[in-house]
Amino acid sequence: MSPPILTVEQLRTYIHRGEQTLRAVDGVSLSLHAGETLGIVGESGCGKSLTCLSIMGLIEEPVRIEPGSSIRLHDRELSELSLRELETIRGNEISMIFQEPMTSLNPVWTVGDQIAEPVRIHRRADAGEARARAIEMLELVGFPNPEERVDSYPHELSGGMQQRAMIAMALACEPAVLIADEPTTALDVTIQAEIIDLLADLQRRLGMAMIFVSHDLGVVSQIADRVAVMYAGQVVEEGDVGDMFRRPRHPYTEGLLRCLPRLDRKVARLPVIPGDVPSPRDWPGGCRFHPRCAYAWERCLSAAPALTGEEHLSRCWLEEEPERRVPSRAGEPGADS
Amino acid sequence: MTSYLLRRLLYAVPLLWGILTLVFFIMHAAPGDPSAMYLLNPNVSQEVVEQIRSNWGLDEPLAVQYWSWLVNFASGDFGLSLAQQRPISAILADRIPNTLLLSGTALVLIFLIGIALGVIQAVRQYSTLDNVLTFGALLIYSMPTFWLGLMLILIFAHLSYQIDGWPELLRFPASGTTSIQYDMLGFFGKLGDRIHHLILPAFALGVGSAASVARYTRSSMLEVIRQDYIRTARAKGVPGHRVIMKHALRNAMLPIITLLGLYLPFLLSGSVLVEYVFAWPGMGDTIIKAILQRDYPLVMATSFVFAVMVVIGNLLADVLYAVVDPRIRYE
Amino acid sequence: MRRALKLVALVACVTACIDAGDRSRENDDAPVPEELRFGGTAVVGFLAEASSMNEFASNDINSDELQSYVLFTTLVRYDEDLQLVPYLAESWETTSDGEQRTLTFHLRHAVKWHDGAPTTAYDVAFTFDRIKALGRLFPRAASFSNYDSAVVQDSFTVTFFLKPHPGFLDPWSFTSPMPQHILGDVPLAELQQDPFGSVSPVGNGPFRFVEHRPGDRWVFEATTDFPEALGGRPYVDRLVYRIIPEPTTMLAELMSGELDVYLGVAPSQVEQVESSPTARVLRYETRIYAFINWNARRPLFADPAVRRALTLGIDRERLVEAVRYGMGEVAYSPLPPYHWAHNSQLQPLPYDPDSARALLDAAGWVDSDGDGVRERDGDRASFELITNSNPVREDVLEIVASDLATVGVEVIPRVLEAQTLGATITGSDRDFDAFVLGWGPQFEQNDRRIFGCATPEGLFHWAGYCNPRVDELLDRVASLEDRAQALPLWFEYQEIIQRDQPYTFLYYETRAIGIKNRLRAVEMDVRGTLINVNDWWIEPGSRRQIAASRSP
Repeated sequence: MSPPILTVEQLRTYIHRGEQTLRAVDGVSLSLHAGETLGIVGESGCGKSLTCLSIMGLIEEPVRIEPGSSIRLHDRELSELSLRELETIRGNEISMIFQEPMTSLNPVWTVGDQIAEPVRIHRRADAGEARARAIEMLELVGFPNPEERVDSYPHELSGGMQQRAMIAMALACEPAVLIADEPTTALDVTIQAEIIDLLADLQRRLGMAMIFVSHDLGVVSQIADRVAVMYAGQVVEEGDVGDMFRRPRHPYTEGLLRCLPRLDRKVARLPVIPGDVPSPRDWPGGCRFHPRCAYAWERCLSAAPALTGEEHLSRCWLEEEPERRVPSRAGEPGADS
Repeated sequence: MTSYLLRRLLYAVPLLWGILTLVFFIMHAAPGDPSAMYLLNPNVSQEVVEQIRSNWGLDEPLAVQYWSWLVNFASGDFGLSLAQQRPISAILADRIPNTLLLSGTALVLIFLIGIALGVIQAVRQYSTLDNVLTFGALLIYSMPTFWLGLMLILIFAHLSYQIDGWPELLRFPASGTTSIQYDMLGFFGKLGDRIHHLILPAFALGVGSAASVARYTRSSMLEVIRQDYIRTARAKGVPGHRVIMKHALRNAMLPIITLLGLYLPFLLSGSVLVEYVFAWPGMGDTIIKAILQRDYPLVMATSFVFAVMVVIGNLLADVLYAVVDPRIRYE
Repeated sequence: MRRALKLVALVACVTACIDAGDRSRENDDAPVPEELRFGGTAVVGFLAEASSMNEFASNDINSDELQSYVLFTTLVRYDEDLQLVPYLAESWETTSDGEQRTLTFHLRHAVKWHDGAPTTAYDVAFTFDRIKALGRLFPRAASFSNYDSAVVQDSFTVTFFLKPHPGFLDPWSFTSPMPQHILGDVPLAELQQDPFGSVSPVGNGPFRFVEHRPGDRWVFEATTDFPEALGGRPYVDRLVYRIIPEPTTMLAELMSGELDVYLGVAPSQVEQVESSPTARVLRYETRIYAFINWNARRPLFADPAVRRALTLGIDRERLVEAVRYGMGEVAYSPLPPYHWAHNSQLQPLPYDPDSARALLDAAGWVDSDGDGVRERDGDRASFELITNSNPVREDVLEIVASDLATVGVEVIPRVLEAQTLGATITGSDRDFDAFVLGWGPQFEQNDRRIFGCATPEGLFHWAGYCNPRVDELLDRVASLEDRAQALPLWFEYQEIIQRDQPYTFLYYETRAIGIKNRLRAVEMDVRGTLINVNDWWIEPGSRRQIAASRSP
């Protein structure tokens, strides 16, 4: 396999609030290869978005990337770049799109101007060239009569069209990496599918690598090649998407999968994982998932497991003691308590 | 948009009529009448005062006076200033340009200074600079215009000439629109002379409002900076200053534009004091003298001009609002 | 008369002599030769606008002065002894047959309107005819009430027919003839509003009109061919009249050199001007006196003894010091010291609170309930003292209130806006107790309208005073042309007023003028502020670097 385009190693992004330190992203390692789509899955508050923003360098005081973290794009260490250098990379080599297209587009700019802006900045294109590129991009993301729509304002577009415009803007400079942070969450289900199809299609056509973040494992499964499951600021399981669905290793992944609605099984109510996502102010000791884990035993309370495995990794003591994969609590694992 | 503006102007007619009617009756309810300017003049005899009263129709019933005023006014005849014995249209032609120049300059200063400071404060939130500016703005905002004008004169037009080594650029004339030598100057000399005379009064008139614009801009900016589209702009690799100036500022201006319409009445009432202090021959000076002299026709005409300016200011704010915010459309 | 002269000399900084026919003007320090005095711009700051250069319309003192001394020429002028001397008229003669008097003026031939036309007897007659035609619409109609008609004898001779009356020449000292060839075709109804007054006046005086920016400035420039007989070409090239209503601003402009003359320095600013190395203060006596008017219709003020007690109870020396910074003299007569009939044998009532208390006791005003305020028959000795908003007069109210409190009279000070005050005190119901005001009549005074008995009352009968003897005296002096005969009557009149105290006269006002040292030979006196504007000159080295010098 070729060397990864993007490598994240031991990324720790902490929030410093007065005396408190919130370890929101706490030792995440990821790698992304050319043409690949990596899905990142987890509940809200597990650190997915912050991981993405850290990669983009879009964090500000009091959020800090801690020393010892590494984000490498090709051979360049992004965490060591100045803001100015970072600005030449953003929107150019790495782009990002967001959850709410409505609020993520500037309401007082035409979509054309917003798409043209990175072209003007990074490519030093003149107004005419940039506008032509904007029209081209709008066509690429499936706008009907883009010559006309290029002068539309965001509020004149539907949610789906707005997200297409966002995508057009992100891809205008043909970045090597696109980070899509819950790009479909705010959209209607039918539109969701269109956007996912569009992203998959564009990725193929442009040959870029993509990080696709979602809290919905089902959505991720439609687009991702590999999936990293995050919990409490860490990656708890990572592996090929098919593999993960067939044989989840981590109890948390098991729980997520069980929560998916399935056509082949009729249930009265969808199960949920009991308990709440812990607060980054005070992660549980030992394995961070143990308070919600049906299998947890003494070891899980006292010592934190490492992410182990070859192709398919998991952060769980079950890797060492697979015989313990027996529920220790009353009821089915993941059953509604 | 055009039809909307026309409709708004049409609505303004009854409003103006109401305002002027109110002014008419308040003025006539005040003690004294235009002949009173002769009352305390030892060299004018009683017969003259009585003759003048009847000649100006002041001995007619109020309703008759009101009706004849209304008819003349509606036909565009402002009449004659009783105190100055000049056609009011000529007086207005003398004074309006001066007031527009002063208020316009003050308005530009208010928004330029106010917005610039507000943006700086928002970008450097909680810094020492932010705190100093916040304190300074509050201080200036709470200064009475009249007092501030006098202080500016004392410092920049009085002390400044007495202290050797005071920078020449910070010496200003205390009054008037032009200096004595004005007619002898070349084009740029004239321009510079006018600007030189404008600075202190425009500053006195505008600085208080600039302080409050700075406050509004700061909070508006802080609000906008947190918005998703600002993050989007950063994610595109837009340089920091461009994010502020191009993406944040225009959005942050939306609530500020509303202030434009609100400040105009403040500016006009402030101009009354500022024009007095700086001997600026404008509308403010005229309206105050007209009121003191009970020069009814001139009071009505100047009130009309002020009211129209306020209406136009509000319309202007609406138009600007639509220009800046594409989501706003007037039907 | 001598007394008036002495006062003028006392208050003026410089002594010089103006003589209309004499070119050799003297000044305080001579080293600058005559021919080097020409040039420069003199800027004079006034607190109020001069409304119009149209004699038919203007009614304010500033317009009067500009008309009489700058833009136009009057037929006669007062000299420093307040004697009438020729000016535009080089001579006059009168005849009298007892019932009718004729007055014939012989005009100088060389005086031209600034458009080149000669000033003639037709202009004088035109001006007179228009004034009579305007009737009561002419603000100073009363001045010509004894004049009947005018006849032009030839181009430079005009004769008036009038009823004999004292001071019949006086109106011609402040009425400037207007140009008939410009205003002659203007209909009477439009005469007062003609643009001539503010936009395009054409004069015949030592300065010609250049520009008027209303509320800002009047600009005049020297008439280069102004006849030597009338004083010749003024030394300064330009005279600018600036209007600056705020005293602080005015002071700053004087100090920074934008102004050469600041007319009407506030008493509190005098010391500042005096301490400046580049400016001086010129003090002069004005025609204005300040007074308290007691409304005799009110029980408290009906008794002359009470009014006398109130005067005795006010420390007017201290008042002049405190509110005028010494700029004034304690007043006691309606004829100020400059007036030829001023009775200098009278002395102002002293400050004597004990006598004041005794008089009030005797009049039945006693503090029986011990609250510090006297009463009589259920009336309290308490009244409202009003004035217009004016910092000096507001101070007067406070001092009067504190002085009278010590003699058991309560004063409630109240400040009104000027027109409101005017309406209150002239209103037919006279709904006020007492007020403070200043009064500055022309040289020919008519006190009948103030202190005469009248039914119905006139506007100025605010004191409600009536004394048949005073009426008799005032009626007689109004018809006596011979001053020697009138003098004893005037003296008696002043004695009665002193005794009856319809007013408490506060002070005769001295005015302070701030003048830049570079501006020389400035004189002012009771006649006004621009009386020798022709003679003002600016030190050659410190003129504004502008207009090319146009010395002859």
